[in-house]
Amino acid sequence: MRELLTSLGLLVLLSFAVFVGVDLLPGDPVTARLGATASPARIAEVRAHLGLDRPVLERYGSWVVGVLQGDLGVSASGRPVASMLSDRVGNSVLLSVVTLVLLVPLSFGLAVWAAWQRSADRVISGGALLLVSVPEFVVAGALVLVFAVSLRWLPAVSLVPVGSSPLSTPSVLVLPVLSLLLVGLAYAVRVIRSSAVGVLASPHVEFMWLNGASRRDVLRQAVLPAVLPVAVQVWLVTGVGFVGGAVLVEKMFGYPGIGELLVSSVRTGDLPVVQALVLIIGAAMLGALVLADWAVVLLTPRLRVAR
Amino acid sequence: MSLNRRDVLRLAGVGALLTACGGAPGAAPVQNAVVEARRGGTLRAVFTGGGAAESIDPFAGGSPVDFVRNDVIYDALFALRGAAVEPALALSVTPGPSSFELKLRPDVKWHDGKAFTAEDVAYSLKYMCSPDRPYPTQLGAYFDVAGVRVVDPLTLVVPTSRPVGDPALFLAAFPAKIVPNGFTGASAVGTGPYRVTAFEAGREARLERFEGHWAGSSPADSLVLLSLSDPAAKVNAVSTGQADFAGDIPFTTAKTGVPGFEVRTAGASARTSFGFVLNATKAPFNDPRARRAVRLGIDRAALVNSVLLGYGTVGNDLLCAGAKYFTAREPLKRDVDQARKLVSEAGLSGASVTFRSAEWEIGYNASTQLVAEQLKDIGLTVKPQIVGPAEFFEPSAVAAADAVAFSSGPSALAVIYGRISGFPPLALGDKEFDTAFGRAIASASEAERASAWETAQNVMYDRGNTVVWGLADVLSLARREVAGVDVRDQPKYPYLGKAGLA
Repeated sequence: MRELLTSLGLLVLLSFAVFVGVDLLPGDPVTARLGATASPARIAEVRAHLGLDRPVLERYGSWVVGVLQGDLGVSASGRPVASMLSDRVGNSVLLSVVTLVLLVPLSFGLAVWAAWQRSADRVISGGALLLVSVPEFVVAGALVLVFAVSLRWLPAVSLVPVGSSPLSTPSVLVLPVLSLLLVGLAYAVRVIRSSAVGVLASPHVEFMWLNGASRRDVLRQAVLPAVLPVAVQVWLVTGVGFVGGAVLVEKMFGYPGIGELLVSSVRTGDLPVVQALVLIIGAAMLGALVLADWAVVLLTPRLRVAR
Repeated sequence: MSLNRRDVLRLAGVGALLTACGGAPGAAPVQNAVVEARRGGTLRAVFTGGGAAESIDPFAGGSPVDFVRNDVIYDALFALRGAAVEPALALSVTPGPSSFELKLRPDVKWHDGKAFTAEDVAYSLKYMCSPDRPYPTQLGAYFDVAGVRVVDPLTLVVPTSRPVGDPALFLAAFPAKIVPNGFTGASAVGTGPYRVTAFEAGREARLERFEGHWAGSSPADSLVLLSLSDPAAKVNAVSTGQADFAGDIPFTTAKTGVPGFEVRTAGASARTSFGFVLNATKAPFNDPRARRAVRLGIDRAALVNSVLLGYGTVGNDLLCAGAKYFTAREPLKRDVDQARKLVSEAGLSGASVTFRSAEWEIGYNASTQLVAEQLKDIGLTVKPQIVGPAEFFEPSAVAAADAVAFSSGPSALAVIYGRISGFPPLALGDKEFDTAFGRAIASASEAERASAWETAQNVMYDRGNTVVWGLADVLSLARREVAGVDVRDQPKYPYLGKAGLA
């Protein structure tokens, strides 16, 4: 309960930081929209029309009241922000969930394998290091080149028909998911592997070996309990990172998620959309961290007893 | 699996390096020709989108895909075809000293079957000028839309707030799509050759042929307009068969070529002018010698070769190349000695000036950086002020800068010079120019308008504050079967009302 209240407090602070922070960003939706040659009178007229001439605290108050009622405000384009986000949030969550579903077993399996076998470690750790060093867009570009341009197995662009979910044409998900997966996998494998290596080198495991424990017993009784809390945190934070952090991947594949919307909104200075998106992503990250904390407590008997 | 070096370079966007690496460049772009398309089929075209902010309200969306889509859903009263003004929903206009009378085309139907009338036009004029619109038209600065009077179902009188000699050109050149009386933007009902069957902002619009179009029905059964923001994704969509046509592709794609597809150019009369507007309201560019020094100091050919990768030609400092009343003049040749002399005479040797830029259009920042290097040779220190697109047009910052990166298509002179003159930091502030501009707007005589624009451009060429270093080709990528793509007044937003597959 205490964590929940703390999180709520943090969310309020986050909302204020988001609103004021985004408002302080250089850029103006009115001048970005009207262009270089709009007269000062015209700029003032549109600014007043959008309510941007009011003090920031007054606007923050109205915004909070609106958010509590499910109203995220009106975009500089004149459309309600909530309707602009409705489908896109779902699409980004879908991309993230599918990636996460693949990431969890793969990262855990590869990391533990790497920690267990020195020969596998060279390949897995080397590959992870390579992928961590390569920017997302290079990974995505290479995948497009191989699977779409040359082999023609998969679509190069994630064109989703109007009114459909990306699930109706699953092939459009493959390359974006693979791009995110490879990058996320590299990070997750490295973190989980170091945790597993630490456990396998511990006196506790050494004692188990000396007592004739089987590999299965060591894995189940020593490695899993020690590594899972770390892995869960990595997965949750990486998963939320996929929702808001897949900006380049969404742009490259034309995937209709919030990452692409965030880029176009920052570009045009559409503050209400940026504020809503940053709040949603921030709240999701906060939620993931709280869940991760709970998961650590649940998976660590010592911490459970301490409570 | 066939993976060649050209594929890799094209995807990496480094096609320009091909030539330097010894590889053969892609074939030269082919001139876009309006070949008649066969009846039937679906044309899938991809353009740069505006994400979730796209709209089927013609005054609410500002991305290329918005313009292309709304151009086939709605019609205007008059349309520009190159430099010529053609009647569309209006048949004629009779200008007067303080108003003009419009005669509308009879027997025009909306997509919902209702008849098009003068009431629709009266409503549309008020709608498009309202500040409630995200992208209102600037016609409100010239027309008194509150005073529009409907004479009969096909006639109306529009009062003007200042004399307008050629209202048809204004109605064709400024955004002025006609919407039905009571239109709110919630649904798209137009008079255009295609009607909307499905639309989702940032994804696609599905349009089907409107058989009752007043100009005859279109060849393609349907159009699918796809929205993508990444230039490489647009090219990949065509090259992998997900689309038939991609508008406004990067020059790097043209350099490398896309085997099996045509890179098309909109042509020499439909290029984008790239340059800067110098702030003539303050030192140093309130001195005509300083402005001329910049014009003489830049290396136009080098800019065209490095920023446009050679796809275009050098500019002559005048905007609106290709538009009606634009008169060609010889571009200034680089003369470093003369430019240095002028800088010295103006007392500016070693002076520092700020050129403001953002990647509003690809090439702004690169050209600003290159111009800064070039102007070192004439003793001017240029500090490029590179900012984000959202803050680029911040009025106080624009006013404080000494120059601002600028570009324009072959738009009507009244539109572009009207915009520049209406914004103090960009206005030239020259009496002769202002008088000629006023005469060009107000005169009902074609000859007098042409003469007035000639004078205005003489002033601009002689001592103006626009520096147009290059005219960039507008390129597209198409399957060879794509036909009927009509480049009208804005090559980046071609008219697809007669497009289809050959």
